[in-house]
Amino acid sequence: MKEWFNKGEHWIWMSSAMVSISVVLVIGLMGMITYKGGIHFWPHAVYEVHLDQNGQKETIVGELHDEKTGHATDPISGVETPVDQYLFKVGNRDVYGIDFRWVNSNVLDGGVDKLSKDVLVVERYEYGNVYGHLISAKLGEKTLNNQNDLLALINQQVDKSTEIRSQIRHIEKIEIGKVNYEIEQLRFEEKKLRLKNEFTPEDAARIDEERSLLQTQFKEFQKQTAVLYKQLNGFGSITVEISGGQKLTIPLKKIVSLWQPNNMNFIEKIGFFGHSVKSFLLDDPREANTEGGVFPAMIGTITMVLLMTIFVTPMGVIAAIYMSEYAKDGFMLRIVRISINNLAGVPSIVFGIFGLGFFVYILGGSIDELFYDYALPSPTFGTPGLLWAALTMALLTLPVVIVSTEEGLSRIPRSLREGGLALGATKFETIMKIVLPMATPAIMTGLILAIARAAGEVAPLMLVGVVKLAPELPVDSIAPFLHLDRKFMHLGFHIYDVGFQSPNVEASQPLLYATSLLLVIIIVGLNIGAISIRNRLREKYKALEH
Amino acid sequence: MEQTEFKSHISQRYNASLEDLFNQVLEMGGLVEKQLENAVEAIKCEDKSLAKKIKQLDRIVNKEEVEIDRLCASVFARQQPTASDLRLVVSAIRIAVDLERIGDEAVNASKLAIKMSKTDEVPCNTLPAYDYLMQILDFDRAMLQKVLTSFAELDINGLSDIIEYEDQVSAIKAKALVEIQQSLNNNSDALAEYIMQMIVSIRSAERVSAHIVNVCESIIYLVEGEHVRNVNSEKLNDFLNKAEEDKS
Amino acid sequence: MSEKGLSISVDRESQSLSLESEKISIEVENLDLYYGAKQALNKINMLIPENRVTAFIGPSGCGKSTLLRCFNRMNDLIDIVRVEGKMTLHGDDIYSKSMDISALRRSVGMVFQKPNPFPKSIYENVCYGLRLQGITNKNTLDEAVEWALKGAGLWEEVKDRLDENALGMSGGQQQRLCIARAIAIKPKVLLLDEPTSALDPISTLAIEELIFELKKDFTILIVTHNMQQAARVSDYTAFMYMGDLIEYTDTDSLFTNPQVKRTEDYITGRYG
Repeated sequence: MKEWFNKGEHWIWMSSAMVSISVVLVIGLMGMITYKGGIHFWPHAVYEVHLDQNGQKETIVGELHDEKTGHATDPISGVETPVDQYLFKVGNRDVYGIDFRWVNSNVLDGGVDKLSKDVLVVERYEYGNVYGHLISAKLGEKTLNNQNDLLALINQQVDKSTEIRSQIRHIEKIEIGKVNYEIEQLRFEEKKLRLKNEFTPEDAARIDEERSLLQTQFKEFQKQTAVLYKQLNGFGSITVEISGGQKLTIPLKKIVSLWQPNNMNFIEKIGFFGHSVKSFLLDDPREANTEGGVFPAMIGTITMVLLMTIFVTPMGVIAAIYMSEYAKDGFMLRIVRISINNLAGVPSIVFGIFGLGFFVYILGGSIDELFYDYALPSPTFGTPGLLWAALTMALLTLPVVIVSTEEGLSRIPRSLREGGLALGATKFETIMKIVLPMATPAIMTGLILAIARAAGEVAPLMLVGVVKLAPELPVDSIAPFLHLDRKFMHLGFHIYDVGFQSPNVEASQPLLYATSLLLVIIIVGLNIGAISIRNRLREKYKALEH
Repeated sequence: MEQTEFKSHISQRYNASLEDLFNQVLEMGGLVEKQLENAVEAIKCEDKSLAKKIKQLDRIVNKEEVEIDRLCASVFARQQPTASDLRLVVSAIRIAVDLERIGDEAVNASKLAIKMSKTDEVPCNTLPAYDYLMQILDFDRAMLQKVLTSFAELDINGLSDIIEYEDQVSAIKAKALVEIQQSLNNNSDALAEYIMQMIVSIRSAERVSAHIVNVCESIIYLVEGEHVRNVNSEKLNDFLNKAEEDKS
Repeated sequence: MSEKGLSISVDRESQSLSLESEKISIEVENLDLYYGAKQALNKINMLIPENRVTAFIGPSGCGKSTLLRCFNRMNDLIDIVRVEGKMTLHGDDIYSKSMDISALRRSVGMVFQKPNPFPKSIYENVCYGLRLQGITNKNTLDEAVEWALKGAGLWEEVKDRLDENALGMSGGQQQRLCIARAIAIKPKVLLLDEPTSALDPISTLAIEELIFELKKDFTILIVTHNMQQAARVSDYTAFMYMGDLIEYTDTDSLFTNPQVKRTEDYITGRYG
């Protein structure tokens, strides 16, 4: 035994144990997020359970979401007995008021594993899902009952209505958005000219003319949408019988999609899964972010991180070059180094406060006064936005980039610098052409760490540009394409919002996991991109490392 | 071993110095050959001026020896020769020493010509053992030529002849001494002075062949890397025959 | 000139070196070098002949590399180094204030102990110095690269793979590439700082042979730990010890008959 200790075996065992724990934690985390997030997209079976509560009979149709052991109190004796409890998603929020319901096993009449036959699930744009049995459909003017291909016909109509919806959306968001933007620009132009006291009657005439042209366009688009809306209303409706025997009529235009989960085979379920993932990634959120997709948040996160990378790279690299190549080693340099290391330890919310105080109010305010004075009092850059969020994040991750770049620079052999200098190159030429290219793998390492940190950070972003629901994307097809002044959505904040600020916590829980999974995938994806670039660079300079 | 081996180093400079050294030895050998040739002529014709020329040649030969020493020292100092290069340099020094001695012996032998040129009464060829001296000198010349050829070609095939010649030289020398002894017993004292000189010349001529055998040994060392000094001629012959067999 | 040649000595009883038949490339006069307060070179006086190979030998820390780095002012990179005395290259004072260091380093090329090719293609390595001078003409560059690679004895080996990364070459090839890189800008003087200490014996011989070839076009100064190498490649050899130039004479004399006891002790391996 003593020999065992002397050989240091216990250290080996301890370190391998620690490694195993880390690996298990990572795998567990990823596994849980993947499983819980994946469930969100899988078509759930819909069960039919019968309740018998002191003779009061009731039928519940819904998805089984959770089960736990709770306590039931006997109303007479007051004795608590453990009892199984089941959580059902019953949907039909507009009818029931709630769409989740706990059921105690002691009131069950029969099991909880009875599938509801031919049940139809209807996803709506408002009020969540409907669970019920299809009775009849009114397609156009015709009323149809229990036909074999009724569902297929309805689906066809739903597809058409979705198509028209997206047309409307396109006109409203893109076309009318463009017109609005141009009208806004005209207003700014007029204001600008007025401020400079150069507003001439000719200008007025010209602007009025352009404005009236735009107004006509606007009206034209409005007319188009009015027609489309009318078409939408003409699609008819379907009627379903929900549990409790109530009949519910749903206009087709309100239907996102509808399916019969209990009638699906495995292949169809996989198809449904893929379709759900797609709409999760590409749709806008609905119902206070508790339903629909996360597209704007995803775009916002990626845009912010890339913009942050663009800011932090030159800042960090230039600072590192100065410190490791030019600055004289001494007291001042030590102070600066200590400061940078401490900067890395400052809580991120402090950076948020700094960003708000300095970037948004002081810098943004000054920019508004200097360049956007015509738009005042409504702020352009003097309000939280993408630019400030990216800059704040750049500041937050700056120490990481500086430290790793410095590390990389110090590892370039002296002989290479001397080789450059001996050929008559100046110090600057040597650094730019020889030293810096060789330090790129280290710079990439810094960026990888920076990206991982910036993409996951939420707290400071809440102060400097992230919002719960942004009306527009930060990148779009209207010049200048990247809108630095816009507020944006962010996956991290989206998770926080859905998880803690949502009115319907249970409904949004799967979405929470799905969004987390997406965030992790995006960070891992950005990192893999950076790592592969780094590895290629390393390969290029590998022969030097001996 | 091919002579081109000394020209195949990566360093051209090394090639050049070894080639210089090699040529210097051959050049010195040529001079000594000339000395021996002159000695034969001088004794035949009792030519005093030719004998003096041998002395002049000897001065050049001595200088050559110093030059070879210098070259060898330079190669040692600069190139740190190894293996065959090293043996070349070592044997060059030894060959140079032997050649220089051969030159000296040629000078000694030719002193007979100077001595005889002073008198017209006694023709040189009437001296006892004159023929034997001439025979020895002829053998010397033949041996020197062979040894230089084998050095130039780095080939030890001809060397067994030389060992054989050396045995013959010893035999001739013995015969010569017997004849001189008889002549000393029979003749008047008048010739004693010249006979003494004849003895010196015969001894010198014999020494030449001994030095040539030394050169042979150096060449064997150079080519085969074996030390064959101080072994008797039989063993030397055995070695040479064996080496030839190995080759073929 | 000849008087100076005769006065190159440190000890009174030391040698004399006749350089009367040689053209002088570099003159060093009373050169002192200090690392902070520590003196690393003491009153170095020497004349370096043109188109000859001059070797510097001596034990580690004797100052031979430091002296070599004086010739292209590489010591300027170290803040605490101070140089006193005079050093001229073809009459121009290397340490004068008006000397353009980049220009100096273009006329005094240097090759280092460890092969240090840049992580670029072979072609780019060789024309790096030319590009620094602003030469962009493709033909000029092509010609210069070919000339330099031929000069470094590397052309035949690499002419078909000029675009490959230089780091993929063998150590000996890399060092010859560094020599090609140095001679591509046609310097007058080539400084070699232990150019073969990281190479195998055969590559070493190739470099030595190259040095012998290069002295036709360049004045070559070589620092080496390897005495035999100095003996093989150089025309003149300087022995240094503790910052002093102990003996400086032609290589044959130095290695067969050194005049100073300390030189003899060092080259014969009796150095304590």
